[in-house]
Order: sequence, then structure tokens, then C-alpha cells
Amino acid sequence: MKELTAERVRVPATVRKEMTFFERIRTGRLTKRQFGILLCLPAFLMMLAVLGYPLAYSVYITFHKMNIARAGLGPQFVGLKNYARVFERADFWRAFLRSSLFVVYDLFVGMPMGLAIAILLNQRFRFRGMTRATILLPYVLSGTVLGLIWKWIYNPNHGALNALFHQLGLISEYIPWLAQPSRALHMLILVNLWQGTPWAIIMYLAGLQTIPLELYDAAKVDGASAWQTLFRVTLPLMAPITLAMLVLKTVWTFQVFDIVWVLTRGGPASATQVVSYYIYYSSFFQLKLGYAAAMSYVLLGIILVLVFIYYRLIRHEVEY
Amino acid sequence: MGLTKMLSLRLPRPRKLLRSVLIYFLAISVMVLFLAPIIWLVISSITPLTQLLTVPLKWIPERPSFEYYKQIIMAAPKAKTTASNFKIAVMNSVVIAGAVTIVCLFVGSLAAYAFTRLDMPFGDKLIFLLLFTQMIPGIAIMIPLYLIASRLNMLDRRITLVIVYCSFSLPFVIWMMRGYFQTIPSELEDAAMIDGCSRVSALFRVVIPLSTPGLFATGIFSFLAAWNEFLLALVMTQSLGSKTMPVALAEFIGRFRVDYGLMCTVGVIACIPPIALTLIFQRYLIEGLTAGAVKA
Repeated sequence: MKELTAERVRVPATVRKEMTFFERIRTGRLTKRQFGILLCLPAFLMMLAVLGYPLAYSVYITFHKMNIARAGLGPQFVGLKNYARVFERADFWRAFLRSSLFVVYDLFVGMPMGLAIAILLNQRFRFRGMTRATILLPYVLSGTVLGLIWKWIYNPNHGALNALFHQLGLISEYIPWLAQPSRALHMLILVNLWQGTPWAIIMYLAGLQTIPLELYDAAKVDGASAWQTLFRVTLPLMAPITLAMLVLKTVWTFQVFDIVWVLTRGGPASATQVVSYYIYYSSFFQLKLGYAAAMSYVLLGIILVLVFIYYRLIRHEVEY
Repeated sequence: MGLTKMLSLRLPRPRKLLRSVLIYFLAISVMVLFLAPIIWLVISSITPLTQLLTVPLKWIPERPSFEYYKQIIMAAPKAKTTASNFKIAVMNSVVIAGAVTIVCLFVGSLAAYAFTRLDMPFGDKLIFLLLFTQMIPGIAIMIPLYLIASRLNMLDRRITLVIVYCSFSLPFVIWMMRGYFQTIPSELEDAAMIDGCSRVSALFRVVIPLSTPGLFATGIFSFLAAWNEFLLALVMTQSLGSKTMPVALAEFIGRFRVDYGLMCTVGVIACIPPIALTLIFQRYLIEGLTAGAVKA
């Protein structure tokens, strides 16, 4: 069997110069660097084909009217019209604000809650390992399954939420949770929090475990109270991991699609059309591919700006 | 006197006791909060329909029945019922997610090895580029991917989803495996190569066996990502031959009249692989989740 060897076979310098790259692959005489490139090739070709090329092709789409419904009529160049439409129309920005509300709840409710629960689960108690494993479950389930679970719980006539609240005497009549615009949006946000918080808990738990115990001992010796230790020792040390989480959370939450699709399909009256749902809707129901592609580029741009701002903010925080 | 002394030794002081009671109470509340909806799904799937729809709701089924499970497991593949269609979709998902995991780990490990050991041109910049790809929302390349696939006649085929999911997971796989390879001392490979191994066989006989935990952690993520993905599957598949579980599930829930018991059973079955993987490979999963962020 011929094997690709780098250093083992010594090739005289003169021969090395005369051989082309492909000849070397064939004869198994590759330098370290060439061998590295060869190993990377499959992965990078794949990513180029599925991520790189589409991303570039998408730029072309944003400048065209695609006409996919009418056969024979090819793409039509429209200049910046699609982008202009994104900025002129309120629809995209309304959807964007809805998604932003998801992000805001995630960052200002989900993450602090995640930290609080992580601190709780970091205490010593029995079944701690089991608790951690089970808490992860909502995070590993598919969004469609979560949608199913909560659609069943929110069911206006037979749902568990109505039954529970009614039996506890909190409500006198069953409530159609997903029928009223603003309430429906908040019920979806609740599902999103339920799914996202376990991830924050696990991340913060891992972060808490990197804090050297000596720091706590030192704080104790200095006579710090539990609250002082929390605010002066624990929280500042959580800043780097919080940055990583802010970035990932923002990117992910703008992509929330599955639970919206299953629970409300953007309704009632487009009240829960979040930005990815709106982009999907514009592409495959209204067939406005150019407009939708322009929206997704604007969204990508906004996300990148946010990520940049986070980096700036936290870098200041850490370096004091 | 002796008794009280013994008792005070055995019993924690009141303050400490209060503290641990509080901790247990809060920990149990948290568990209930995150598990109750899933447990309710399981209960609903084994409760006979007539009992499930009674008002006021009874929380524990009197006579649990596994009728729906039987219906799905026994469904003939060509019956064209909801149960049989769902069964086919689950099989599609198993095939796709399995293929994605294997291809991803193989291709990704090769690239990761190149980044760790073989002096790559622009190595650092390429690694940074990989991180950047994680910021691209799937929705941003949904439209071009759809158009490209339709032009290549690749729509509605399982292989297309395998390729797409692989590329989505590859940046993560390369990033993770690079981290694991870095922990393996290069002297081990050198020793193997001095003993007559080629670099390729040193990779497969020394480096990869030593990074099995990394392969597990990374593999679980690739599998779960492929198993759970919905948006692109919705866009790229149409017929039973390639439809994945989430798409079949969403379609089923979207119907006007839904058999709630069957719906919940379908939901439970969709949960089994992720839950089983989580409980079995918990340690690896948590390792994989937190590896990048904690180090940085």
C-alpha cells in the first residue's frame, strides 16, 4: 500500500523542484505543508460549496428580481431596489423588533436566571450530577418537539396550563393563550426562555468551576460577606464567559423559527412574525427572493455590529 | 447530658439545616420547572384519549395504555397513515444524522490535524474564519442554497441534507478536534514515526484513538444538530423519501384535526434519541458545550 509520507522519504532537491503538486500526491512525496493542505481540502471544499458560495451568490440575488414562479423569465437586475424596500417598509423592522424582544428577554431574564440557578446547583448537595443532566434536556430537544409540547400545554380547551391554573384557583375561565396578539408573543418568548436557560446554566456552571477556591478563602479571611463575595469575586470572573454567551445567544435567538412555525405560524395577525419567520414567509409564500435575501443580509449585518459592540463593552469591563 | 451531646453532634446546626433545606427546595423546583413539560408529554402519550380530554383534567392516568406506541411501531411502511409516514421520517432522520456524524468527524478530524501539526498557510486566519461562520444565520443562506440545489436537481434528496448539515457542523468539529489534538504530545507521534509508521498511520493509530472523548463530544453535537434541524429540511425536502422527523412532526401538528394522544406519542419518540444521548454521554456533552467558551 502506498502511503502519503512527508518526511520519511528523502527526495533530492532537484527532483522536488521538477515535480508538480499532483505528481507528488501520486508518488507520495509531499512536504508537510502540502500534506496539510491535502487533509484540509475535503472540509474546505464542502464549506466553500455550502457556506461560501451561497453567501456570495446571495449578494447577486439581492440585486435581482428572481422571477422563479414564471418559467422562462430569468433574473432581472433591479439595482438597490430590494435593499431600499427593506429600509422603507415597516414589515421587516416590525419583525426585527419582535425578534429583538426575544433577545432582550434572553439576555436580561434568561442569562441572570441561568447564573442564579448555576450558583444554586454549584452548592454541594446529593443528586447534583443527576440534576445537571436532566436540566439539559430542554436544550437538546428539537424546536419542533418543544413546539409540540407547548402547543399541547397551551391548548385552550384541554391544555395543562389552563387546567393547572384553574385547579389552583388562579383563573376562573380557560384562557386561549395564543389567540391574542401581545399575549401570544409573550407565550412564545416563555417557550424560548425555557429552552435557552438550561444552556446558560450549564455554561455558567462550567465557568464557576474554573474559579480557584483560594479566591473564596481569601475573601473569607478578609471578612467579606456572602453578597460581597458574589459581587466582587464571582460576577467579575464571569465576564469573559458572559461575553461568549451574549454573542452566541444573540446569533441564535435571531434565528428562532421552529417554535414559531409550530405554535402560531406567525399569527394571530402577524403578531408573532419574528424576523426569520418573516424572511421565510417572504421567500416561499410571497416568492420575493430578492427582497428576502436583502433582508437576510441586513440581519447578518446587524448581528455582526452587535457582536462587535459586545466585544468592545466587555473588553472595557475586564481590563480594569 | 450525653444524649443531647450526641444529638448536637449528629444534627446540623439550625442555620445550616435551614440552608440545606432551602437548597434542596430550590433545586427541586428548578428540576420541576424544566422537566414537568416533558413528563407531561410522556403522561399524555400513555393516557387514553377519553380520559385526556376530560374537564377537569386528571393528572395521572388510571389505566395507562401503550396503544399509540404499538400503532407506530407496527405500522406497515406502505400504509400511508400518519403513523407509517412518521416512521419513515424517523428512519430518514436516523440515516441522515448518522451519515452526517460519520462524515463530519472523519473530514473534520483530518482538517483539525492539519491545523494542529502541519504548518498550514494562514492557519490562524482560517481558524478565525471558521468561528465567523458560526455567526451566519441559516436563514441567510437558505435562499441561495434552495436555488442552487434546485438547479443541480438536488432538491428532495437525503444526500443534499447530509452535505448541508456536514458543512454546518464542520467549523465546530474542526475547532473542537483541534483543541483535543493540541492536548496530545507530539512526541507520541514522533515515536510512532521513528518506529516506522507513516504520518497517516500515526494519525489513525496514535492520535485519533487518544482523542476518543473528543470524538464523542463532537459527534454527539453533530448528530443532535442534524437530528433537530428544521428550517433547511423544510425548504429542501418534499416527499416521504427524504422528509426528516421534524418536518413530518410539524406537518402533523399543523393539521386541522389532531389526535392529541398520537401527537404526544410522536413527540415522545422524537425525544428518545436526544434524551438517551444526553443521559448516556452527559459528561462528553457538557464538555463539548463548554469547551470553547470557558477556555476563552
